[in-house]
Amino acid sequence: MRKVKKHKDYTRPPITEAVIEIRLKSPLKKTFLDKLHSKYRQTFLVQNLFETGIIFTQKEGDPTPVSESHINWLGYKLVDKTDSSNVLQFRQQSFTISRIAPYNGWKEFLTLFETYYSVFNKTNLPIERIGVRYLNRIDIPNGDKGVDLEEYFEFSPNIPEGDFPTISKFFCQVAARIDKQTFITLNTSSFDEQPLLNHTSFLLDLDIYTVENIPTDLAGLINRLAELRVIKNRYFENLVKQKAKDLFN
Amino acid sequence: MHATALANQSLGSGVESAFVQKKIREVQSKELTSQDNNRSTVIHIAEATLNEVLANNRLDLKILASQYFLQHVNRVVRDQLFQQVDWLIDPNDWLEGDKLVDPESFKTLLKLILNTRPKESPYLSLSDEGHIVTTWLAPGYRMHVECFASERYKWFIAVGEGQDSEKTSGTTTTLKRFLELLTPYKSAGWFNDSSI
Repeated sequence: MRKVKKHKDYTRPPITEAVIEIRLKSPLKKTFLDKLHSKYRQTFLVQNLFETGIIFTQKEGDPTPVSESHINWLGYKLVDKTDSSNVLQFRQQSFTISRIAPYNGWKEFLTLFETYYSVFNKTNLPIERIGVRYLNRIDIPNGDKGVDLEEYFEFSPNIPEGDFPTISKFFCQVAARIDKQTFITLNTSSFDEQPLLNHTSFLLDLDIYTVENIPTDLAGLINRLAELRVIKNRYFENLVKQKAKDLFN
Repeated sequence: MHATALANQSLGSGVESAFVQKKIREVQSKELTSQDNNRSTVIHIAEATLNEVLANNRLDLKILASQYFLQHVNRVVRDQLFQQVDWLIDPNDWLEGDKLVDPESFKTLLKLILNTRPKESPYLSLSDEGHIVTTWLAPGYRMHVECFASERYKWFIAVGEGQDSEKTSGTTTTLKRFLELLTPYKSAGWFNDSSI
């Protein structure tokens, strides 16, 4: 990867959602999460999170599979009543904070994280994984010929030159190890729906995470998250060309 | 590629992260055996009160608006729209039989705002079917637009006052065409000049 200069903050960042997620090694008791629910229900709208599914089983010799539905309670999702862009998820084994657009910068986001994470994991329980994820929607004006991705990004679906139809949609996920303890998941995609007329929108979704040597104390954890964010910024800068940056600079 | 090779990501809460999750499921569904079909995550409200149902509707619409607007719509208009949403879905004025706002109708409104950059948010009301109806006022002009799913707009415009006013109405199925039809009313000044 080529080196890039440190960027200044963008005036109109294309961030649709910023996420910090902390996964614990062992689950919290439901009664504890219920207490958090009671604590925050005046200031947050609280929703229950469930996982549902259908299990199909088919006995040997039986032509018809038997289906059985099940439902598991996962935790609570909380949406700030005064600023609906702040969303928390208190799950039995994870804490997630999301800042939906408009994004007001890392400092403010981290303050929110500190406020609620210190309540969620007040005894500094061991952590299995931490992740910093930023989802961006980049709206590019499309002329008569559409958008040439290579003018805007350092990624594009690799298709044979010449005899291949114009791409109408794509979705690509790349997962890689950055170093011994840090990983990246990158999703790039076109959107089914275009919010802006005469534009084509693309998703650039970076998730940087680590699963080793994670500090449990808040100060250490915050330093580690800040390191992940620096890595995220580096990759963002490398993946987006100047012509795209000019759109939100 | 086997389904489990796809990465296990940090959980998001917004529209785009749900989109990614959906895409991954689509990829996985092509690979899954029937025994693995056990992945959907949904949100329920157990024994929700009317207040909670309405609060959910309000917040879902605001999150949708924030993610549609991104950096393109200024915060004044965004905040005005949020006030209108609060006013529209107010538990104190809610009557039995009232329908919640249809998010697809709301998306159609968001596209209109996003692409016209109005100076102010329009006034909102709700049809019996849960469709957003907007009112745009300017000296000598009045416009009502009902927003349906998939960029369908039903509109009524009155120019002038009283019996001499000129009225026109119609239905369009794309935003682009709707904006073309609004061109003669540019002087109403509802939108920023660059959009219409």
